[in-house]
Amino acid sequence: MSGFCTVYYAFSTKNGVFTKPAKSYWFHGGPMKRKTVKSLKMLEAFTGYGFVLPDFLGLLVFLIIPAFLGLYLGLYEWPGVGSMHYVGLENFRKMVEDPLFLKSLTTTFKLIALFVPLNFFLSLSLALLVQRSSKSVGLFRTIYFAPVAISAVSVGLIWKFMCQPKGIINALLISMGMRPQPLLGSTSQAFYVLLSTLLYQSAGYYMVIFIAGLNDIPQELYEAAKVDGATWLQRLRFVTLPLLKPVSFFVFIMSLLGAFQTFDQIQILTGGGPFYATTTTVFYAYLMAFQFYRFGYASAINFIIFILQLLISLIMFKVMRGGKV
Amino acid sequence: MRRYFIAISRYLILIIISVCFLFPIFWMITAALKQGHEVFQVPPAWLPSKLMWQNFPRVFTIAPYYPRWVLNTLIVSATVTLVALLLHAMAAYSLARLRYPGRRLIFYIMISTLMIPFTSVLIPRFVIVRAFEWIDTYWALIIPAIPHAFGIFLLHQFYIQFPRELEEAAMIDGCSPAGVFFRIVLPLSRSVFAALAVFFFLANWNSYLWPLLVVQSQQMKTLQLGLAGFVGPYDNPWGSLMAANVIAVVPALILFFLLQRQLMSSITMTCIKG
Repeated sequence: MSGFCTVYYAFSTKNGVFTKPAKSYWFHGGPMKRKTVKSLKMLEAFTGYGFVLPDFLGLLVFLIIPAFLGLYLGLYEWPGVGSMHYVGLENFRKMVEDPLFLKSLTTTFKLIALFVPLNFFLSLSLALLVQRSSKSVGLFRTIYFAPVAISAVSVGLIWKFMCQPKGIINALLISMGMRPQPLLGSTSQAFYVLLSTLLYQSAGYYMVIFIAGLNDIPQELYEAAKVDGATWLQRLRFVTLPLLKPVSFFVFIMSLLGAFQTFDQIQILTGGGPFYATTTTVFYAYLMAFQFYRFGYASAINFIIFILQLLISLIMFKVMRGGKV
Repeated sequence: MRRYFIAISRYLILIIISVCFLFPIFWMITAALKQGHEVFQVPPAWLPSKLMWQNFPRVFTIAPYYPRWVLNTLIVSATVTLVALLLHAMAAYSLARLRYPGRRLIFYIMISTLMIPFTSVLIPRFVIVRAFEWIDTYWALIIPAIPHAFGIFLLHQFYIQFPRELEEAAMIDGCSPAGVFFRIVLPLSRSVFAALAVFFFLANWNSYLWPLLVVQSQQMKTLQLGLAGFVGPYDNPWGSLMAANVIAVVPALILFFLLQRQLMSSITMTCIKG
């Protein structure tokens, strides 16, 4: 998920990523015969290639080749088995006319537009509340963090259970004198059930990231601000938030890409329904491939998703200037 | 006076949020212990009137393969974690320390794969795994889950900061590069391994989408798949389902409470160093 930031970091700090020993590291001159030096160099190179090979092969076969294969498949019509039929860019043209695909895009952007800010606000508030590392607060921190360890399937099942027509949510509504709601059975409410599930599972994760960012802010700055008579709110506005910008940027991008990739919770809670109300684009591509056996069309959609994610990340990067303070 | 007021209201907020966070887990556990008619009741039965344990054995009659699912998940998660740690450490060490032509290019290629979202390569990856005839085997669950540039990158960052003197000492004693790695570096990487291992293990224990595609038979299912298979469109045995859920969640939560420090540090590593 953190792909974009990591890649940016790796490429931008050229000298930070690689330490350059002046000479090869395995010998430091000295009275060694040239032949020995050469064979040592060979040994080092040999070990180096050998060590990197298994992982490199794995990435090649399961990520790099599939990335190109996906683009290739996007140019064909293929039910998953049997012969492939070349259609060129036809799949991409079909997308523009596919109302369900367009609807899934809307759903995805709606999810992002709601999830990213809500998650940001929630996890930052939690982090500010439990930041100090006293024992009394540690327990709360653990509680907020715990849902991260539970699988999306389990949380989805619990949510589904609570949102049953006769479930606890409706029981509470009834005992408060309100009318029971259809929740997961309604095209408008199912989306918000999904959103709350996502927030429940991710708030603790991003809270931990924010806590790490908060702990990196030098304490002296707060003391200086206090001496100057800054209120809590002013300290938050003029010290915490500006210095938290790199972490905020990271959280922004991560949660955005995370929301984009949502799958498990949708599959468990609604299966994309009712009437495609909770079908995001990623889920739509899954449905196309593995329910309707339109592998070519689904691959084309996946390619669009990839491009969209890249574009959004790049735009965010430009807008927030890489999160520089 | 004002200070106390702030402190009290802060704790009040903390407690209210905690209740919100804990309630779903509480509701799952109590539902597993309730009698059938208590599960959906208005007004809600907050606690089971009598502890009913029969939901738990019922899990195993509804889903006779449940123990097998747990075993499958354990095998897959443990293997992936161990193999991935070893391979990532080897690759990272090679890229960080050993000198050979092309290593910078290899590093950049590997890191660039982080840009590829998992869901985008789902279909071609499935096609490749099917071409290998791995569908419905452990291979399909284990091998594609191992390569991930993220672990390589984190370990790489760890190894470039690794104190060089230790390796030099071993080298002077005539140790080969591979020997230095396996005898000196690997045993000293325990702290970063612990953090990554918790992360990898939980990620694999909880993974759902990939197994959903490559598993077909009941006995090859992982725990998450099995759980998801419990829910039908109508009339679910919610009590037993929540019991099954409890059995799945409790080990993850125990692991979490024991190792939350490592998990936190692994998450922190991703953002501060990544």
